[in-house]
Amino acid sequence: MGALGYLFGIAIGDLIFFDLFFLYLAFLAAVTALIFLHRYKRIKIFSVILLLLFSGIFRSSLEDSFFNSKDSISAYVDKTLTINGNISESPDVRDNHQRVILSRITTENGRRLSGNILVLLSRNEIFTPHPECPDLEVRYELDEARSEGNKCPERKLVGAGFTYGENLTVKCALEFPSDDYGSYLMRRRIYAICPFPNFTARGEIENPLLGKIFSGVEFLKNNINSSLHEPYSSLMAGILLGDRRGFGEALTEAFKRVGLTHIVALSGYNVSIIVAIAMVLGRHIGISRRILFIGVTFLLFLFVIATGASPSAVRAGIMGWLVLVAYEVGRLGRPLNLLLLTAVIMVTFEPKILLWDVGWQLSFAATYAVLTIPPLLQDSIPRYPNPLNISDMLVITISAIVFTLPLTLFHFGGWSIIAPLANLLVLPVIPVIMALGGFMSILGDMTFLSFLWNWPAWILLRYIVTVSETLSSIPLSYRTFDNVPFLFMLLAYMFLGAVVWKIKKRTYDRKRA
Amino acid sequence: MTVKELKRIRVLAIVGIIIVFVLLILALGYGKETLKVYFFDVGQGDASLLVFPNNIQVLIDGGPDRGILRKVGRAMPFYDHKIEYVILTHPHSDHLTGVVDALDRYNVSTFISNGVSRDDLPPYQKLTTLIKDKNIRTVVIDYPSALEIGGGRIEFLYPDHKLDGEERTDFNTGSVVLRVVYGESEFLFTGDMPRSVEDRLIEKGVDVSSDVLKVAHQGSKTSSGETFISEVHPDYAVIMVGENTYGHPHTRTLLTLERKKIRVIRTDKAGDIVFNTDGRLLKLKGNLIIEAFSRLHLKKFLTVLE
Repeated sequence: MGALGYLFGIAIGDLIFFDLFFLYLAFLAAVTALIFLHRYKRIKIFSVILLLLFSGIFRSSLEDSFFNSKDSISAYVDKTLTINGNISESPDVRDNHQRVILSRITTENGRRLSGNILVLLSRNEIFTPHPECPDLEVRYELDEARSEGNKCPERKLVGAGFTYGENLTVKCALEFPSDDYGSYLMRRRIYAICPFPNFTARGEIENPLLGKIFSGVEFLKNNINSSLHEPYSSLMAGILLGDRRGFGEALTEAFKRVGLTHIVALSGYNVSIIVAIAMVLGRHIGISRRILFIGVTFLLFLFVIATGASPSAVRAGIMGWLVLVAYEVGRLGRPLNLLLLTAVIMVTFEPKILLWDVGWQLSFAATYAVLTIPPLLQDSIPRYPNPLNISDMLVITISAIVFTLPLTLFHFGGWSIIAPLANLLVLPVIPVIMALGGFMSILGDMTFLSFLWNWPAWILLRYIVTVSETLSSIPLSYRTFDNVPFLFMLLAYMFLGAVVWKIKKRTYDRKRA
Repeated sequence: MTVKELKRIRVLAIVGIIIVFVLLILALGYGKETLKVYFFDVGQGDASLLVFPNNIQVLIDGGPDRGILRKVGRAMPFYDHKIEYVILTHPHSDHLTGVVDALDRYNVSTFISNGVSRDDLPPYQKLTTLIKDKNIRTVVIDYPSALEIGGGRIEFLYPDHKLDGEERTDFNTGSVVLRVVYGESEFLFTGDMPRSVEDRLIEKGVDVSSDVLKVAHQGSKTSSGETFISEVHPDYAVIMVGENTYGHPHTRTLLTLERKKIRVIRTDKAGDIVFNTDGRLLKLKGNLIIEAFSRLHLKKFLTVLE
């Protein structure tokens, strides 16, 4: 209850502006009530909840006060300036350009600005070597290089292989769209866009450990690229490393239509389902619980590291691990509390994710579903012939889909009717692909043994592509809705909650009887 | 039978099925003495792939972006990571950019071009670095020549001399023109060549007759003169075109083709287009269903349903 109060407070604080002074007073009142009236149990519980609610609101308002200040990047839109920042997510490489998000922004005179910047960069940028500086491969304007007393920087390629954590200096005219896209960016704390800067310089990755990790990840990616053709290599990198490099519009659209986008996204949604499926499959094949637990924990850890340990990767990893714990420890109860606790911690670090990060919301909903529903339905699944434990996998995927459906409807206005079938066909091969991908990315293209993993991986990836393309071409497989009201989402979740509560009560009663 | 034995049988069965499957796929790719010609739908730009017997690939131009990798990747057998020849007709970015990505990604043995460089263009600079780093053999077309490949032949018709002066700055003029001959089937690839080059080829009496013509320059009015089309006398005319503001393909070109009763296939309508020939019989494959749909307005009907 307390945790829910806190989350609720964060949400309220995010939506409504509160004066910090009054918040402080209210907080004080709740503390006083708690101190003097703690003998009355009801008042005690009530004031604790209130206290948490207020601290939620407080945390949220604090966040807003950061970003409304005049130190925000938004004050510099329509001006040209040189900015230095760190890449905060792995870059989104499209077919003809790439998108990089810079955070921890400082201006040239060392002033720290709040908010992030979206930088659009061309994909093939190479720098004209300057006559006075033949080795100068960074696109410096020479005046600038001189005034900063720069010697010719090292040979380096701007335009390829940007990684999370890297330091970047760009000079450009900032702009910001005022339409829907702008408000979408705002929610991601992006307050300015820097389109195709006319001067770019790369610094080192500040964290040496991260640097090591990324050269490792680069090595893995190169191995995948040399072993598989496009689009299969992109797909493999997406599944294995959460790499969002382009599969092209056609395939992305097909994935969306059949409800498979999550297999290549870096989210708790993906990780939770895959962990659950891997557990079901592993147990079915006859691997012992303990080995599975240790093995999958290790793999999750590797996964988080390999994806650069960005905040979203860490969150996804934690949620996946919760599912793992639930399967290891036995059912329910504690993992659910743990999920709430993790949510509280994550939201304290980043209050904005609660209301604005769709990925996080989907992850939370899916993880909740995967944790709660399958154990509840355990006894009511009819025991048909059940190769590979299909019924369990079906329950896992369908419950995740049902619990995320109101969210996807509200945010994206699309409903993939065929998603359960597509997921059932594709999800079981994902753990296998990950295993094969592990060999492929580490061992690479050793000419005579590599066919052992390359060929099966190719077949399975091709299978995924074929399934999604075939299913998406079926008419009526995907329905779009315009403007799904918020109320609908609320009612849908209330309904789902009621159903879960009812089933829970029934199983509880039956157990007591 | 014990449980253990059952399990072993099951594992063996799965392994067996996989092996049969792989062999089947390999068998499908082997023993076909045909030439496959792909015209990829890469939007506004050109990209085609020739696949000769024994998995010899020739990429002709690469389109405007990285999308070519997906197209080529799905056309090549999964165990083959080598494109034997890459031909760049001329260094305009709607032909060039994808070529750079292909050179970056695949093992390429030979790079063929008209020798015109574009050092002002970042992708071209990357191309130069790649050719140097990967040690790729380069061939410049500056006299009419031919290349024998796996039972077929590629004839380079133009440039028939060393390009200089204006020919090096007006990039379309220097386009490599090539004719692919496989048995009795011929394909003519024209790059973005303008009418002046068409006239020059006719004047010299070069044999340009072909079954399939890649219409020059997205069907622009600056190419495809009436006499040249008569001289080529194709059955099919492929127009590689995407959404654009230049008015490509031009109505005049379309009318010329219609008057000659040539079947026009456009990548923006039909998607990827594939021809298959064994040297005698030429077959058109590809998303013909989509083409038929668009013709019958069935697609519209379907979207209304949705």
